[in-house]
Amino acid sequence: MNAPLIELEQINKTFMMGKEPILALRNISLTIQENEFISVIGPSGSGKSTLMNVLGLLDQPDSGVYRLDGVPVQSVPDDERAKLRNQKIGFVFQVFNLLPRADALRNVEMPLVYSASYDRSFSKTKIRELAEGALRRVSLLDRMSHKPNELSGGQRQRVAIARAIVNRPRILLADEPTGNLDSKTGSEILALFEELHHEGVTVIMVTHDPKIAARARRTISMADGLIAKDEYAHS
Amino acid sequence: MPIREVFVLAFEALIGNKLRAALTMLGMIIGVGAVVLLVSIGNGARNYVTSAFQGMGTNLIMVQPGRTEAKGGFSHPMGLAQRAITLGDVDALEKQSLNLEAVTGIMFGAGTIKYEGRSNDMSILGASEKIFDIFNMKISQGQPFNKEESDSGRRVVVLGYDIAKNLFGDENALGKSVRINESDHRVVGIFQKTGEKLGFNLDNIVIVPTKSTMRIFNDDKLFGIRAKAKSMSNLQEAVDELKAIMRQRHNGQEDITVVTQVSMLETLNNLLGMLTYVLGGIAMISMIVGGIGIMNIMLVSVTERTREIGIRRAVGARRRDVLTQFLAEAIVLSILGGMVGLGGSVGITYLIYFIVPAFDMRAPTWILLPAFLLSFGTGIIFGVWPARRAARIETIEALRYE
Repeated sequence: MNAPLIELEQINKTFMMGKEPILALRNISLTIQENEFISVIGPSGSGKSTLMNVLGLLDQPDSGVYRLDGVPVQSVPDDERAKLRNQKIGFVFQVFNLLPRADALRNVEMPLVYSASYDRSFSKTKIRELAEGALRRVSLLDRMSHKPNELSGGQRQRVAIARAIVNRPRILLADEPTGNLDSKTGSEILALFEELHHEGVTVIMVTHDPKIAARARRTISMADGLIAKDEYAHS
Repeated sequence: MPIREVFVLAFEALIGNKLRAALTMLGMIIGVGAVVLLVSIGNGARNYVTSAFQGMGTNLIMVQPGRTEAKGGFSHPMGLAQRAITLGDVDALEKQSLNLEAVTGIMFGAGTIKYEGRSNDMSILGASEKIFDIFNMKISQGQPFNKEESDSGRRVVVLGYDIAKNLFGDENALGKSVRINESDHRVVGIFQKTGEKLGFNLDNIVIVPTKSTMRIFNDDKLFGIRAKAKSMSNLQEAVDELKAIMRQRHNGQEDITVVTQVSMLETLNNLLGMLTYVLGGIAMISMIVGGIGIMNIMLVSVTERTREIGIRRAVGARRRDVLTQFLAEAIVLSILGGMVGLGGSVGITYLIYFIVPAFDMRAPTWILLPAFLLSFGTGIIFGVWPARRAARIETIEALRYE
């Protein structure tokens, strides 16, 4: 068997809230295999967002080991983490986080513009083709020159997903991706995640809604910085 | 990030906020405009002075009694004279010099000229007939007095334009007798209207032969010598030769000050060049103000776009990519503003030249590169701090920023 995609060992992360230390992650150990579909559930303050930030290389743990593709990454330099985020991880946020000034195509192209720093093969033509492909994947190719404020909430989230997958990442991290959407649109977004999962992407999704969490194969429940439950759906 | 993409982003950001970009650029427009305008004015003044000097006759050598230490400066008229300059010195120069084309001793003083009850205060310049050649003076009526009249010290006079006008009006002045201080002189010629040159009204002087002037002032010491070198190229030899002859006559002492057209021009040019730099320097203050305007707006922009920074960092931008992006914006702002300011101010200098052709203050072409570099530099200097702040923002905090 291959090395697991993600391996966390004894991860700790503490925040200072005023003078009170908050133990956001306490000795978290976790293994995630390639192509899992995981939901992380828990009340606010349970540490699930911190876990996502650590997994997404947006934040560094205080202690512990994080192996991504078998390589320890818990203390790689800032530039290296930017490169790993660019090449291996796609982010989907609750509030979409699209650039208001740029149209859908420019938004989706954004990660590739930075990929060009690492890989000279990312020409303007290639960037455009990949971005159009990602927009086609989320069925929004016809809206590529619309600005975010000209799109509906569901469409905006689909643009954000296109941006997340445009560089063919191994991991898709979604933080409350349906939190700002109505249940029908939310369901469509979840269906899209399922499709991406079937195409081989590892999807990790934070939610506080058990019904949404139930769509995943594996559900990790967090409470007080600890993993309270880690169970596989019986389907 | 490819450099092209950096500038595309910068332009997109500026177009996204046109009014703000325009107002920020205004500071740079005024800054660069002020620098270019003031430098052009200084440069114009220099050109003006140069052409005025050249109009007075080139190859000019001025000799004053007494020695001043300042090399190439104006001689102090009260310089400590070891020995007066006399007509004998002038004769010696005329006879011995190989490099001088024309030499005259000059007298200078104030006086009053009268004709039939009208009178006019004026300056009297005593000189030989060579003066008309040396100073390149143009006679409009009659003729200059000749060598014979000069050598024998006849009481003849050439009138400045304004004096002739005041005393005679439309009447023919030639051959008339005018009273200069206490003696009568016959008018032989009238100068062309020349106007003021270097603060000296040439229309308000009269020229009388040196020897006659000595009688008017009852003095045999010359005010100085004016000479003309045979050519611009042997000016220095002419000066050396002149000094040698004078030294020989003055017991081996160099007790005169020699100023040439060239050295005077150099002095004035240095002075005006300095003035140009000072003016430019003052204008730099407005550049700094413009730069601070850019810095201010960039800081606001960084704060406003904190979330954008977070998003970009999340999808793979390194700190240096963020730094480059904001720095490029500041540079684009300052260069655009600078170029508009440059264009505008160059336009203004041409407009002024068009209206007042006598004062050519058209912006010199060499200003283009410094103006560009100045705007570029201002963009970098005042863009670095906001850009560094942008680059230092932590990604998760930026993503949480409301």
